[in-house]
Amino acid sequence: MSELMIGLLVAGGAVVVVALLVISIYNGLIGKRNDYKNAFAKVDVQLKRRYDLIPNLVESVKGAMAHERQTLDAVIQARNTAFAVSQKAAENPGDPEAMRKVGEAEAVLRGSMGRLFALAEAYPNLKANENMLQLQGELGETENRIAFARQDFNDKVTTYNTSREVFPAIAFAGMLGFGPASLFEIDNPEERQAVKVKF
Amino acid sequence: MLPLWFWSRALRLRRLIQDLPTSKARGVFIGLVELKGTAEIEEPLTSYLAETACVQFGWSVSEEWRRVVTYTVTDKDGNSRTETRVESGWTTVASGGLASPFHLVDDTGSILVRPEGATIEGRSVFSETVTAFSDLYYGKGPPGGVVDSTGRRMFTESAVPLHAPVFVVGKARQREDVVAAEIAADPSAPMFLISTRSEEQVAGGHGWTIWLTGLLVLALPAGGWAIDRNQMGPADWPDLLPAGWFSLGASGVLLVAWLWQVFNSMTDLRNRVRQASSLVDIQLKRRNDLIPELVRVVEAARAHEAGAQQALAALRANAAAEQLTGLSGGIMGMAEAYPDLKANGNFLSLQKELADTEQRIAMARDYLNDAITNANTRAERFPEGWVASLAGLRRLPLLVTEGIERQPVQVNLAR
Repeated sequence: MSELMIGLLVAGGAVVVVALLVISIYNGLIGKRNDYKNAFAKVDVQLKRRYDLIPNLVESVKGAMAHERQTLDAVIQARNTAFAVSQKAAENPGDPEAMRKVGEAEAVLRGSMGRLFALAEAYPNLKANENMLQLQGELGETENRIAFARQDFNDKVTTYNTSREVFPAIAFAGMLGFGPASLFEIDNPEERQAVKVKF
Repeated sequence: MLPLWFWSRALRLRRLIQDLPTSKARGVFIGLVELKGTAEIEEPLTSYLAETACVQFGWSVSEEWRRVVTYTVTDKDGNSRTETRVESGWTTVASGGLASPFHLVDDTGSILVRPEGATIEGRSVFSETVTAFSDLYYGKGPPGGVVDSTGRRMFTESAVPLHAPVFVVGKARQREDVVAAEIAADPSAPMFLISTRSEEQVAGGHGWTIWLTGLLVLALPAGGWAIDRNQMGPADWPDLLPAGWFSLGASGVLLVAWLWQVFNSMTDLRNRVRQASSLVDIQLKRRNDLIPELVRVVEAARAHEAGAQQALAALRANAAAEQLTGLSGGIMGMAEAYPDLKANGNFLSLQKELADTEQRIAMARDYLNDAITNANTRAERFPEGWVASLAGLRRLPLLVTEGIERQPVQVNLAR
């Protein structure tokens, strides 16, 4: 074998090795880039979940609050009416009209009391407050989910960035079109400030 | 080649362990984390041999054998003769083990660890060598035996005992059942280790590997050459000189491999610092999004309660005075069924969430400071500081508070 042949073989072998290396770096980076894009989409999924869920939860809590309030108001209203008509009837015990009104007012009061009892049975202690506690819990949990999704995104971005910046990938990543990816960052610096709680 | 591979692997893992800041169980984020705590479990496993309560155990039984081997050698002159040699050894005849998901508990909380796929470094809890007269021999060992058995069996067991301090490095991911993190095997993780040794001991173990394999890399080529040379005949001192050249070449290879590993680990560390900084932002964002909403909910709860309590007060005040109907008693009972001031619960829950939120932020900041400190230490050390600047790792200031935030806080409830 001539020296030229050996030289060609060695050069050819080197080219094959480098080509295999570049292909494996390329494929690795493709996978990692898709991983962080996927993680970004997962953050969006969680944001969407918050967007869809929280207003509905708030509405249902509002509903529970309003229901509890209306029932109490109805009882008070009925009691006041019943009290007023019975006062009137007491002033004039012989008036059949007044006595009829007392009966009507009693029926209304009985009805509203019934609703109050039904409410009390459905929610043993009238639980608009428990609804709100649950809402508070769900709000906290939702933000935890979002934070986890963002952390996962950060992890994937960091994995990608590191694998394109270590040797030997750093020599090829730019050429192959793999730019650096950016981590989660707060856009509005005011959001970094402490939140003032005020009642 | 093999020692070189072990050398660079040990170097990489030791640097990774040293560079990873230790997270707290409650501040665990999704990604590669390092944790220290104790192994706890509700229903502990009982190890097979030592019968201790544990979260993981692995046992093995090996049996000794000894045999005389007869073989024929033919010397240079063509004469054959028979020689004998005694061979002996141990063969594993039975082994087993079990690992259960457990909780790693530290001073801030606990986190679930799923040990499948982990490298587990247990503590030796059982080691006995017995003869067939012992109950143990067949009691916990298999029936039968190996060929040419000497009748001695060695029973060994290692375990991660309950309440034992453990050091865990692995990837945290989100649990599927609840909104919390767990540590589990992940193909992309550079390591998943559950060890009963401390961080220093694990890093130190890799340190020994680095020294030993490094020496091997230096000595093997020269040694190989020297043996090669010796077979040609007795060598004089000057003839051994090329062995030195071989060692010099090997140290050049080691230097390049060291540069490579250090450069890559510095890049990793630099990105870890950036990630840590972003993790702080995530917690700040969480606070910014969450707390105002919670405050609004608590406000609404308070307003609702005020209204409801007023209505009830009116009912209570009048019900007693009215002799109207039998319903009055019902109204009274209804009113009494209302416990006082339930919005208190909402305030309590808000206070807890506030404290938890600040704790999360504090832990993220701690993590960032630890990562920066590790990076600064690397950047200042000689000679790796040079590689650090090559990898774009610069000295960074730590996060510190300034001015008024350092003063003690005056609690004023009068306003």
